[in-house]
Amino acid sequence: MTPKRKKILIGALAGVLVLALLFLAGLTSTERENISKPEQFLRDMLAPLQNGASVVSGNIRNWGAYLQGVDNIRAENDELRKEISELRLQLVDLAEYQQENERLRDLLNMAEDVDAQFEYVTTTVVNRSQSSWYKTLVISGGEDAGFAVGMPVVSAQGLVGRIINTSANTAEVLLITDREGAISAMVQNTRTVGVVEGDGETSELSMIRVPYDAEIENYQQIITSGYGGVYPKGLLVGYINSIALQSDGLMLDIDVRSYVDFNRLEEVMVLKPKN
Amino acid sequence: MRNLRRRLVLAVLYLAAFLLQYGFLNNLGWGVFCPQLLLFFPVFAGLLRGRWYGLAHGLFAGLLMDLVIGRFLGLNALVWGAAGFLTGRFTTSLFKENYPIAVISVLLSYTFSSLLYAVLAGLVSGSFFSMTLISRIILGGVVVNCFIAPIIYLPVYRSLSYGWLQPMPKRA
Repeated sequence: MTPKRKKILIGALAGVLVLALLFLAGLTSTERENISKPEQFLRDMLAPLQNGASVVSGNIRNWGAYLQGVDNIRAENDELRKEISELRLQLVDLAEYQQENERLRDLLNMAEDVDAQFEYVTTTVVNRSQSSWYKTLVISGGEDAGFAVGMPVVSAQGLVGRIINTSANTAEVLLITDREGAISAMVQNTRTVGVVEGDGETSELSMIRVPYDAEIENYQQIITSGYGGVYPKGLLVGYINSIALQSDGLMLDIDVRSYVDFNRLEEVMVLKPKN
Repeated sequence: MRNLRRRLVLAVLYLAAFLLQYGFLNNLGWGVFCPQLLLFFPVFAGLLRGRWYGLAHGLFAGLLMDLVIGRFLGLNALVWGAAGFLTGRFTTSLFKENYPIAVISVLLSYTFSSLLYAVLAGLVSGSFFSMTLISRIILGGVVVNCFIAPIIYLPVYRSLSYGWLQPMPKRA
């Protein structure tokens, strides 16, 4: 083969390879119900090893804290945090119950409680790729544990995200801080509805599509609205940190803070429908 | 025999790098300052063994990432394959014993692959990343990857020259 022909052949092969890979990327760019067999195989094969490695990293983090001589304080702090989280959740639940009771006295059977609809399945985080382009977590437990695409994932501090794909032993969770993880939410006290979305860059959230005259204040709790059918109503999203008027003067720019520390998540709960 | 040993060592290195990155380092919460260990395979393969090896390692490492944690199948393979190939293409006449060459190769490859990924992912999904995110990822990655590049380069160079990764001599 002449060098010129060889060059043409190599160029053609490179072109075909690039087009094939781009085509494949395009095919898989939408949210998929089922991932391919090679993906499932590799994810399941590597999951136990990843799990082991993440346990080691968790231990090292704890060890670092021990070396700093704050272990006891940490344990106490963890206990208090847990208690605060539980109380906070109880408070949210109580406020929610109170409001629901008032509003639904005449509209019984219109809304159902999250606890009645879902079973909480606790699982561990085996990998997080929050440093990269998309903010996702990989959790242990997949189809074998009954997890499916679309199931909400929460922690004791509030909403974490939803499952976007599963293999037999793992599931990938799209965090609410991802720019594609927007959720329909409402201010708990005033029932003002909006959309909470992440910027994909930090762990910060903002609530948009809220009219300028909405009667809201700082530190009010934000919960899921239940609209859109992705998340059930009443899951804690965060609280209002600051409110500003958009430049057009028609909508509010609301800075929302989640109670969840997305960088330190080690255990989460998947909300599995009971029926 | 030597070839088999070399492949086994490579497979172990890939697995170790993958687990270290996606089971360990990512969980430490360093954010954008998390090293991209798998990218060293195509970059150093391109640098030390030429563009075709860079391309092959890039395709393999990228596909591994795509299959296990990727959003779009094939995109990392394409981007890293290109990075490995171009590293090999533009460093043929350079003095490989030089540390700065390794650091500069990592810097340029990481920047190039991140930019290409951002553009292609935007085109494929129809939703482009913000410039702030792109610059954050590139700056954070460049700092940490360039810092550890010399630490990894030395054992890789030694192993390729007279160690377990040494290739079989070409037949006459």
